[in-house]
Amino acid sequence: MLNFLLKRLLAIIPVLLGITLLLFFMLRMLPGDPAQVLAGQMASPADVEIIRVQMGLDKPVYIQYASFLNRLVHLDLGVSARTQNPVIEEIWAKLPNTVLLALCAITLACAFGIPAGVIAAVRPYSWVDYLVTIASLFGISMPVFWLGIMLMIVFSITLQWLPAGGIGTWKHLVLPSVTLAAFVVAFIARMTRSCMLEVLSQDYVTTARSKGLKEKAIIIKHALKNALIPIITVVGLQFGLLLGGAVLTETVFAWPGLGRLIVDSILARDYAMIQGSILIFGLLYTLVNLVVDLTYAFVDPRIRYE
Amino acid sequence: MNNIYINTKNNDIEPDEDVKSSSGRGWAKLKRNKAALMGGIFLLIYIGCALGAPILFRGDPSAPNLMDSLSPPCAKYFLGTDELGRSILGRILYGSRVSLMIAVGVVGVGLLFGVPIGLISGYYRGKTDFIIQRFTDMMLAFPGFLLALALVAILGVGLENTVISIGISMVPLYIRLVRGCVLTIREEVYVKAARAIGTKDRHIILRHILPNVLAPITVQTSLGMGTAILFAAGLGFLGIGVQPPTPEWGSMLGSARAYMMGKPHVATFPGIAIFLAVLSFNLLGDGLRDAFDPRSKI
Amino acid sequence: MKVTSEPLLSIKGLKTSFHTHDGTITAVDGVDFDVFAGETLGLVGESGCGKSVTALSVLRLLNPSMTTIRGRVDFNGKNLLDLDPEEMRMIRGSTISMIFQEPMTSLNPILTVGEQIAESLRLHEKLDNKKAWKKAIHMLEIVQIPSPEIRAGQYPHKLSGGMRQRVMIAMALSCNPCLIFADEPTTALDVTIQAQIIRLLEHLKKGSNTSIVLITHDLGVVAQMASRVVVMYAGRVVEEAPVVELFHDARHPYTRGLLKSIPVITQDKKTRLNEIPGIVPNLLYMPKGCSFHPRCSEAMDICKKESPPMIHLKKNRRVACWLTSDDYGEN
Repeated sequence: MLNFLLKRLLAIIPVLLGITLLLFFMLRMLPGDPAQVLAGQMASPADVEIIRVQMGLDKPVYIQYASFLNRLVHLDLGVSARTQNPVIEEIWAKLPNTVLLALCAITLACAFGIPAGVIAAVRPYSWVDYLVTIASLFGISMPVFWLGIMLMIVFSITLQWLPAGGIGTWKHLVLPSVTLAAFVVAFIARMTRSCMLEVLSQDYVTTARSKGLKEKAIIIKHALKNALIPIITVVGLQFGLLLGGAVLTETVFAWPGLGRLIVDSILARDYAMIQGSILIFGLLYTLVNLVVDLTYAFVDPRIRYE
Repeated sequence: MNNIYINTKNNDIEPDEDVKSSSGRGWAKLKRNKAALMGGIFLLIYIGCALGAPILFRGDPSAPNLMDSLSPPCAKYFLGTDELGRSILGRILYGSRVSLMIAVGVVGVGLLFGVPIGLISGYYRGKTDFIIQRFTDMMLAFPGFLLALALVAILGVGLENTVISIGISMVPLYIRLVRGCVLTIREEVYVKAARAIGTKDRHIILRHILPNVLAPITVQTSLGMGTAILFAAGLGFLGIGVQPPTPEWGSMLGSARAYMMGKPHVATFPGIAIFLAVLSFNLLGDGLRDAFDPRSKI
Repeated sequence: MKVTSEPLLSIKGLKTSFHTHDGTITAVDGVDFDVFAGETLGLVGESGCGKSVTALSVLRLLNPSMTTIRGRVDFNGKNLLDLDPEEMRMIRGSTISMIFQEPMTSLNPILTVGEQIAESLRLHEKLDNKKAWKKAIHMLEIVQIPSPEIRAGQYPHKLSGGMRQRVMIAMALSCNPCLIFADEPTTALDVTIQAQIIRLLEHLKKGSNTSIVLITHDLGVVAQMASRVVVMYAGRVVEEAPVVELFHDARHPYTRGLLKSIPVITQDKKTRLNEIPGIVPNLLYMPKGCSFHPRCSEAMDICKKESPPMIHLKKNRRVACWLTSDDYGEN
């Protein structure tokens, strides 16, 4: 397993470098003068020159990249043209909110999705199975922002049970989490169902039955435990996708997270912020994938004891 | 003593008439799948709306008519009007053109770049494959929507840029998919045999490998069109996709937010349109996958 | 080894059908045979003849929504097919158990080998965790796995095919069943390992009153281990005989064909191997009359029209063939 760990760690290094490269060049792909772009439309020519020297934009490209990396390591992502605060500070303030939202959503999704998928697989073609299948199809076809708006109309405006947006109490967390969870729960239910169906058709399940084990033991101890291995991988990847989907949900519910920050930055052409936040998102996603891989290795004894 | 080698033509076993080719069996299975059939019907309705929009709705869907602003569904306006008094039904019908164009465009970009690159990467392996794979890894280091978002930030807003951004974000998926298939197929005996007799690479790729990759590509394309519509609507909703006054379902939803309080219908109907369109692609894609590629993991 | 006159297991008219999109496939079509206490019964036939399905039907391990099972399976005074699922479950693993063909896939990859044996013991013998684990190690010892304490804590992927099959045997024996169905226990193994497993099974059988139904297509294994043989073809029993009689005086052309097709190690390399021409019929399109007639060198007119009756020659000796009926006149 140590081997596996090392290989995975080594594999993300080029990816991380690649992310930084991508974002480094992103700035330079924009039309116009990068220094002007970074400084923003409000800046005076003097400010632009200061930025130019500060960012080393007058030096050759490879030196620029090197200093870019250097600054990254020192957590210097530049200054937001919109708020004049350091990018890293703004991100640091908003990131926990997005992570909180994503964690709530994934927990909800697993709590409902996995049992639903198991039941659907154990009783194929029953009404439960049809219900789960249809609900899942609906879930992955629904635009997350529309669902959010609909929920808001029903629960905040009409019934007035929950607040329509912003952050504060647990009540503020409900609608955004449920909205964000909808797509994921559908996906997880489908994955669970198909993984369980595949496992249930395996020989070792027949062996377990032939030993006279109780049905519950067969489903949970023999089948689900095996099915969870690929399911965990999927859940981990979904968590990463949630970070992306958060963008829309945060906008709908005015949730002060990283997703909304990106959108506001794009609309305001605040490129240092765009670059910084997308970089952080990419890093986070890569990290999540790594954790998923490691969990997978830990849970599957065939890899753990290699 | 009879000849021990019996001529089996003398028996009365019926020959296996019903043996179909694997694609023949696939079509039969697809036709049996009611959900996929429903998806197919929805899709035809959708395409019908897109093509027939000028016939189904007279007039300019983007022309403002402030007198009738924000009226709920009634006899004159079947689905009501939006904040500028435009018929929502009309905008949805014309919006179907836009979303269909985007879906086809996005998938087109994905296929155009993804398939050849995937084929080359998988077939030739070696350094080319390594570089292409690292590049794909980099692109896949971001969740899909975020990548499209980043590209929009660089390229700018509007219909063309929406298509390009989402299309590019789909390319790595196609590359991965095609490459995976190619890696498996190239180890098949018939491919090795073809190489052994000196068949040109291009011939092998086009005639032996590509046909076998078609099934998963088709599934991915159907599902991908649904995803494209969702992404485009998302960008539109945020205001950085297709720009007004072009009727796009997502941006219609975006501008409807301000009127949610009293006039929920403005937000409801475009959302239903998006939902039905994506649902039809998903139903069809699922059916295609069950019929032609049941062991796929997508 | 006592052989009482009352059979331990009595299968009468077993009919198992699968419902598929292409039609209903009757994999087992009216099978009868008995198993007596303490004996080893060989159930022989080609792949697809229904022998595995017979065993799975007796244990009711088939998917009930896709299969229909008719007939009687009398065991200990009850018809197993009439039992409710809970009663059937308690019989499985404790009174009747099964050894499967593919040791590679028949063990759960994420549970230790010891745990897979221990769970039966905890369930059926009501042992506590500690005692169950100890007994599991003991079972591994009985099936001659070296270092059983270490092996018990290992996962299946660490064991070779032969060792995994030994584990399967240990699992099947753990609760002292009176009947074991061994479904092609050696087919998936190397020839040398096959011999070891056969020897192990013979060794384990000595001094115990457990009956074994040995399902196989390998007549060599049958000759070594079985006392009686039932031959199946296309879902039906075509012949039954004590083992020596089967090998020396097979009556059904199919059995004769099978015996003739065994390659002799001393035969000249240049002689053709004997085969039964043709292939097993598609269960959806069974031939009229005797299901074997298209491949039979001795087929008569009546064989093509009517299915032959089962002719009982003596106790435990029967053949389903018009040829035999000819010799003996009417049934």
